[in-house]
Amino acid sequence: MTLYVVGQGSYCETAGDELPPLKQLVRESIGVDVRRVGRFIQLALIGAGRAAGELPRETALYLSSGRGDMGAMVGVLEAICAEGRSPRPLNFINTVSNAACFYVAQALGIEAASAFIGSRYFALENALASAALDMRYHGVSSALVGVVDMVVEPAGEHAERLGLAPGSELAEASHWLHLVREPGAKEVQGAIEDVYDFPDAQSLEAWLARQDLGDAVLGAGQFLGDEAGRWCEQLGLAAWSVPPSGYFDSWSGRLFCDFLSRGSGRLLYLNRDPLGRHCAVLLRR
Amino acid sequence: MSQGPVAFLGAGLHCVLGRDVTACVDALRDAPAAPEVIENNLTGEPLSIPYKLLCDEPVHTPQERLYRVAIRVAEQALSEAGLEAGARQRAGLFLGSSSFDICALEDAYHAELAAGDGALALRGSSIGQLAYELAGRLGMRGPDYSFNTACTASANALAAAVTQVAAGRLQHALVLGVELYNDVSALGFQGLGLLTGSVMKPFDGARDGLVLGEAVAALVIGRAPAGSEGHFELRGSASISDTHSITASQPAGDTIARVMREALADAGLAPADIDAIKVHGTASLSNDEAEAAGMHQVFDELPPVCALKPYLGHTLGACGLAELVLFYRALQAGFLVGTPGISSSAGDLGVTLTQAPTPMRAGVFMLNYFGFGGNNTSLVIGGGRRS
Repeated sequence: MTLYVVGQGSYCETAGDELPPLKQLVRESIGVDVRRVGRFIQLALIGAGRAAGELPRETALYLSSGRGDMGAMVGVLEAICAEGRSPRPLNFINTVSNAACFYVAQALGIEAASAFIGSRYFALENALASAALDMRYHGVSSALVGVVDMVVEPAGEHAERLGLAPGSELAEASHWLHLVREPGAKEVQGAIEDVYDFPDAQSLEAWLARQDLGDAVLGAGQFLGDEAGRWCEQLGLAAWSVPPSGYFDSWSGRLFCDFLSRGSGRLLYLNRDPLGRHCAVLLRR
Repeated sequence: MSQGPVAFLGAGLHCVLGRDVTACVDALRDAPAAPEVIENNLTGEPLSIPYKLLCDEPVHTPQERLYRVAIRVAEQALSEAGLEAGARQRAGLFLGSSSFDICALEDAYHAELAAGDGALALRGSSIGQLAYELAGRLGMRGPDYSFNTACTASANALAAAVTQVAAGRLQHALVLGVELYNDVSALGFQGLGLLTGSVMKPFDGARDGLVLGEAVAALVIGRAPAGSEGHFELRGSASISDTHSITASQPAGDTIARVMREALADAGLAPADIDAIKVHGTASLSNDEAEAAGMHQVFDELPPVCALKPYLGHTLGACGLAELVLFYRALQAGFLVGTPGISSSAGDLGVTLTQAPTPMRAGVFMLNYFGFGGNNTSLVIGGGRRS
C-alpha cells in the first residue's frame, strides 16, 4: 500500500563540545514553550512540529529511536546509583520513552493512537511498517512517524556509551514524516511504496529479483556495511549519497528526508542487522 | 485479512503466582496474598517497598535472571503452540515492557561504580537490545518490535502482532511482556507516593495504592489449525492518546469511554455483547475514578467485572499480556477470577468486583489498560468452549 508523504521535518546537528539549547527551536516549531522536558522530548517536538503542518486530530503517532530517551534514564540512574537519592517524580516518568509521544500529541492536538516502538537496528523502518499496516487495516488515514536520537553530555562519554571509538563525531537527529492514505488536495512530497523485512540475505535477493527497479538509486542503511557495494553492483544501481554528519543510530531518517528533499525517481533502501535479517523500503519522489 | 481469526496458540507465564500457566491459574482459586517487602538502602534512608516478586526466582544476578526467565517462559509458549522449526524461525517477536533490561544495566553500573573511575550509566544500552538478544537466542529471524508505552506496552505489542499475522506478513508471532525488579521503578513509584503496603483494592472505598509486581508472559499467535476448538482470539482493539495529564486519565472518563467504544467497534460488537470486563484497576484514587466513570458511560449495566492486580501486583509494561494470559486461561479452566473482600459492594464508584471464582468458560470479554504518557488501550477477546 502506498503511503503519501505530505510533510517532513528534520533536525540534524553534529554535536560539538557543548550542545546547543533547543528551547527556541521548540517554540519556533510548535508555537509554544514546553517547560520541564529534556532534550529527547525537545528533539521530538522540533521534528514533529516541522513535519506536521495542518494535522488532523485523528492522526496516529509513531515514535522510534535506536536508544530511547537516554538523557532521562542516565539522569535517573546517576541519581540512584551514584548519588544515592531517589529520582524526581517527573524525571522518573520521563524515562518511559512514550512520554515524548504525550508531549507531541498534546502540542499538536493529536487524539488517536500513539506508540513508542523501538528497535535496535530497524527503528524507523519498523515504525513505518506499523504505520503502513494500521493505515491499511485499521482505518488510520493520517500518521506522523518519527525517529529521534540524542546525545547525553559530555559527548566523549556518550561515544563510549555507544561503543564508538574515542573522538568519534556524534550528532543529534529528529526526522519525521507526515503520511496520509489519500492525499486529496495536499501537496505530495513523495511516497513510501512499502516496507519489507527478510529473515536473511537470500530472501532479500529472491525478492529483489522480482522487482522492476528501473533507474532507482540505492540508499544504504548504516548497518549494511560492505553489502552496500555488492548490492549496487549486482542490481546495477547508483548509490544515494547523503551529506556527512556525526554518528547517530537512526540514519534511515536522514536518508529518507534527504531523498525526499533532493532526489528524484525511486530510492531502494536496504539495511541489515548482525543476525543477518534484512529490511527494504521503497520510496519515490 | 479474510483468512479467519488469529488465535492464541500457546502461552507461558512466570509471576508471583507460579512458574508456569497452570500453577498461576490454580493460584487464582485462593484469595490474593500480601506482597513481600524489599528493603532498599540505596538512597541512604532504609525504604521498605512492597513487591510481588517472581515465584521461586530470587532477585540476584539480574542479567542472567532476566534472560533465563524470559527464555524459559518463551519456550513454554512456543512448545505449547507446537511450532515446527521453520515456522519458529520465521516468526516475529513483539516485546512490551516499561523497563526492558534496565535491571541488568543498573547492576553493571553498580559494578563499574564499585570498581572506581570511569563508571558509565547505560553503557552499550539500547531500548531494542532485549528483543534483539531474545530473537537471537530463540533462533527467531522474523522482525522484532519493542513497545515502550508504559502500562499498555504488551497489550499494544499483542495488537500489533495480531495485525501483522492477520495481514499475512507473518504466519506466527511470539508476544512477550517483561517486567522484572529494578531500582528505577521501585524508587520511582515510591517517590510518586503511589504504593500501598497491603493488597491492592481496586475500586474499593479503602483503596490506597498499588503494589509493584514482576512478570514475564508469553503468547504465540497464529492461525488456528483446522478443526481445532476452544481457542481464544483477539476480536478487536483500540489505542488512543489522552493528553489530559502525563500520569492520570481524564477524570470524567471520556477518553477511557472512547477507547472502549472504539475497541467494540473494531470487534463489531455492542456493549451488551460483553460477558465480562477485566479492569486495569491500579487502586489509585483518581485513575480508578476515571476508569469507573468510563465504564459507566459505555455500559448501561456493567457485566461481571474482575481485577487481576490484587493477585499479580502492577506488572507495568508486562500487565497487558500477563493479565490476558491469566484471564483467558482461567476461563479455559472454567472460571472467571474473583477477588474476595475487594470492592464487594458498589461503593462510591459503582463498581462491584467478582468475589469468588465464577463458573464461566466462553464468551466475549473486554480487557482494559491505561498508562503513563496518556496511552489508553482496550482489547476485546473471544473464544472458549461452551460447556
